[in-house]
Amino acid sequence: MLVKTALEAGYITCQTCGKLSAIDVVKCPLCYRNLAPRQLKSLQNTLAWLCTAILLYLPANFLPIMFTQQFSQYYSATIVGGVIDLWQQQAYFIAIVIFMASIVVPIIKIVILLWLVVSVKYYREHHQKQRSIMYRLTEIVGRWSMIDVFVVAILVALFQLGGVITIIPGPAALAFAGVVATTMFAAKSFDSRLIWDHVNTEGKQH
Amino acid sequence: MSSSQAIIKTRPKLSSIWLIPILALLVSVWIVTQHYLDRGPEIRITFQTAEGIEAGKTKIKALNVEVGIVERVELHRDLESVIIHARIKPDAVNLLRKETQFWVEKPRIGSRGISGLSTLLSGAYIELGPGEGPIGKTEYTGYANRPLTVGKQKGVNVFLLSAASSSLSEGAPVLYRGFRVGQITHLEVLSSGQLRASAFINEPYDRLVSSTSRFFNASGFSFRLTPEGMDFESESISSLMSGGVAFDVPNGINPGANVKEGQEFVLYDKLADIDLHPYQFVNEYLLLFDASTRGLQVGAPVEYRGIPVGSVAAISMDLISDDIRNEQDVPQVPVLIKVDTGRLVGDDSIKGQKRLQDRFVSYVAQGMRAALKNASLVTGQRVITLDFYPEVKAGEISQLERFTVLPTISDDVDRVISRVGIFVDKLNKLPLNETVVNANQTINSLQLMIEQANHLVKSGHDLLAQDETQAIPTELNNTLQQLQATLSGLSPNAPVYQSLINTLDQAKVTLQSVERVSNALDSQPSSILFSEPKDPDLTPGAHQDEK
Ligand SMILES: [Zn+2]
Repeated sequence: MLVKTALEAGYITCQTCGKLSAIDVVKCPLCYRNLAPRQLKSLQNTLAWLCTAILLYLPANFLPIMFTQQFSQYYSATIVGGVIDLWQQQAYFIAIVIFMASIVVPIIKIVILLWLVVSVKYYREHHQKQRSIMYRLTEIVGRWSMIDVFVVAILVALFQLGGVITIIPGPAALAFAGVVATTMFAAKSFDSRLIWDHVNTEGKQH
Repeated sequence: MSSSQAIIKTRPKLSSIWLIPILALLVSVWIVTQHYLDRGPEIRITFQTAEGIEAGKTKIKALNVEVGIVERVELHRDLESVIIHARIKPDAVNLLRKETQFWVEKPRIGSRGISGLSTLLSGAYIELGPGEGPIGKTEYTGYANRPLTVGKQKGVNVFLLSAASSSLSEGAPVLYRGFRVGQITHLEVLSSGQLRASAFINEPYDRLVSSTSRFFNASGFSFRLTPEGMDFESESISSLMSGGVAFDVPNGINPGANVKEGQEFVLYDKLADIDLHPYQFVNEYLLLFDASTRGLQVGAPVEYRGIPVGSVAAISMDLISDDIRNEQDVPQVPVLIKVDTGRLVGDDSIKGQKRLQDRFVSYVAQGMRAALKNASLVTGQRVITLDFYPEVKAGEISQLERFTVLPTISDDVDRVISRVGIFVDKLNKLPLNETVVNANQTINSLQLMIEQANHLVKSGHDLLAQDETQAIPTELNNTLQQLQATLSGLSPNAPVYQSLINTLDQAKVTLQSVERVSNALDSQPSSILFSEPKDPDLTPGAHQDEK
C-alpha cells in the first residue's frame, strides 16, 4: 500500500506543531518555525552526535561515577561496579533499574539511531513500519537514561555530612550526562520525516 | 515533478556538528595520554598477608599524605605471601628509595599508647616510611607492623643475648634510669637456644651505652623490706606492663668505649645479677670431682690463686647424660663453674673468652688443677680453687658433650698436705732443743759411769790374774769369802752404796748447773757480767743457733 508523504503531495509539515503549509511557505504561520522540506544535514548531524555519544560512553563506564568519602576513607565506584555492589547487597530491583537505565538504555538508543540513519540512507524503500516503531521506542526509553545522573545528583545532595560521609560526583557522571545529552541531540537532529520517504530524496537532490 | 525540481540543491557539505565528536575524541585522547604520561611508577610490595588491603581502595600514605593507591592484589606463586601492586603518584617518586619501608597501618595498642586509631573507621592503609638510598626501587618487602626503626631514625643497634625472654616483646622500651631511650626491635631464637633481642637506642642516647654497659630485664619489680621500711623497685610503670630492658654501667667498672653498631650484650635477669657477675662474658667449665662435693653450693666462689674469678653455676648429675667414672672406676660428680673473662684476662668480650680458653690450655699443661677446698672449717663451706700443682704431670683440657672439662686434683692430697703442715708446725713449737741437750747430758754421764764400771771390773780382773792369787788357791776361798762379805757391804741395802748413789746424784746436779752456765755463756757471753734474762726461752735466735 503506497501512501503519499506530505512532500509528495506538495506540502511541508511543520516539525513543531505539525501544521501543513504549502511548499513555498518559508515560516510556519502558526509557530513561526522555519520550514524546510527535509533537514538536509539531518543524517550527518545525527551520526556526529552518535559518535560523540559513543566516545563519551567509554569514560562514562570506566571512570568512577562517584566518590564516597566515609570517615576519611575514599571509595570510588563505577556504574557497573555500583550495580554489582547493589546486586550483592540483594537490592535487586534498584540494581536492575540502574543497570537498565545506565547501561542498556543508552546502548539501545545509540544502536536504534544508528540503525535508523543507516536504514534511511540505504534502505529507504523498506522497513518503514519498523523504522516507525524504533523511532517511537527511542522517544520512550530516552527519557529514562537520565536516571543515573539523577541518582548521583540526589546522593551528592543528600550525603554531605562532613567527616562522616560525603559523596562527590566523579568524572563519569559528567561523561554520562554527556552521553544522555548527545543521544538526545542525536534523536532531535534526526528528521523523522525521512522515515517515511519512499524515494531517496537526498539522491534526487543531486 | 516541477515541485521536486525546485528543491534540487548541491550535495550538502559536511555538517559543523562533526566538530563535536572530533573535539570529544581529541579531548579523550589527550586525557588518556596525559593519564598514562602522568601516572607514577608501579611498585610491588610483598606482604605476608593482605589483611585489610583492598585493590583500588587501600591507600599508600606517607606522613598521612596520600602518595599512591593499591591497584591489584595477587597471591605469590609460593602461596605464602601476597604481592601488592601499587601505583605511586608521580610527585612521590623520590620517596621510592632503597631503604624505604612499607607497612600496614592498623589500630594498635602498645607500650607507646594507642596508635592508628583513625584506621579503625577508615580501614587499614599502607604507610610509606621514607628511607635513604638511591631512587628507583620498585620491589619492596612490606612489614605487617610498623617497623620500630623507621628509615632515617638515627641511633645504634645492639644485640642482647639471654637464656629466656621472660616478658620481652617487640616494641618494649629500653630504659636508662627510667627514661625511654630506645626500644626492642626484633626478637629471635638463635640455633644455640638463646634468645637474641635487637635493641635500638635512639641517637642522642646512644652515647650512654658503652662497651661495659650492662643490660638487665626491667620488666619485673621487687619488694624489699629494709630497716628504713618497704622498698619498691621497678624501672617504670610502662615497662611493668609491657616488659623492657634497662642498662647502666655497674659500680666499680669504668665506662668503656662507645658502643659499636651490632655489639652483643648479655641480658641479665635482674639488676641484682649484675653485682653477682659484673662481667658479662663468662667461660663455663665442667669439673669432675671424685670425692663428695658436700658443702659446695651454687654461687660459691671460684678462686684463681686466691682471687675470686667466678662462681659455681651448677652441681648436678643431670649436667651430663652418662655416668662419668675416673680411672679407678669411681663415679664422679660434675660441677659447672663460670669464670669471668673480664676478671682473668681483662677483656670482657667474645675475644676475651677465646683468650681465657687459650690461657687455661697452657695453664693446665703447666699443672693448673681445680680443687675443692674448705673455705671455712666452722661452716663447712667449700670453694673451688684453681691453682698450680707442680708435682702433677701435664694435663689437658678435654671436651665432654657440650662442656669443656678442666682437670681436677683430688681433695685428699690437699688434705694430707695441710695435715703434714699442721704436724710440722706443732713439731716446730715443741722445745725439742732443750730435750735433746738434756738427753745428751744424760747419755754422757751414763757413758762415764759405764767406763768407771769397766775400769773397776778390769782392776778386779787384774787382781785375779796375779801369781800370788793363782798360787794360793787355798787362800782364795778365804779371800773370796772376805770379798763376798765386802761386796755384800756394797749391796743396795748397804750404807756405803747409798752414800755412793748420793754422791753421784750430787755430782750430776753439779754437772747440770755447770752445763747450764756453759750454755748461757755460749748464747749470751754477756751473762757472765749481767744477770740472765728472766725468760731465756724467748731469747730470739736461740733455736737458730742450735741448728
Ligand atoms: Zn508550526
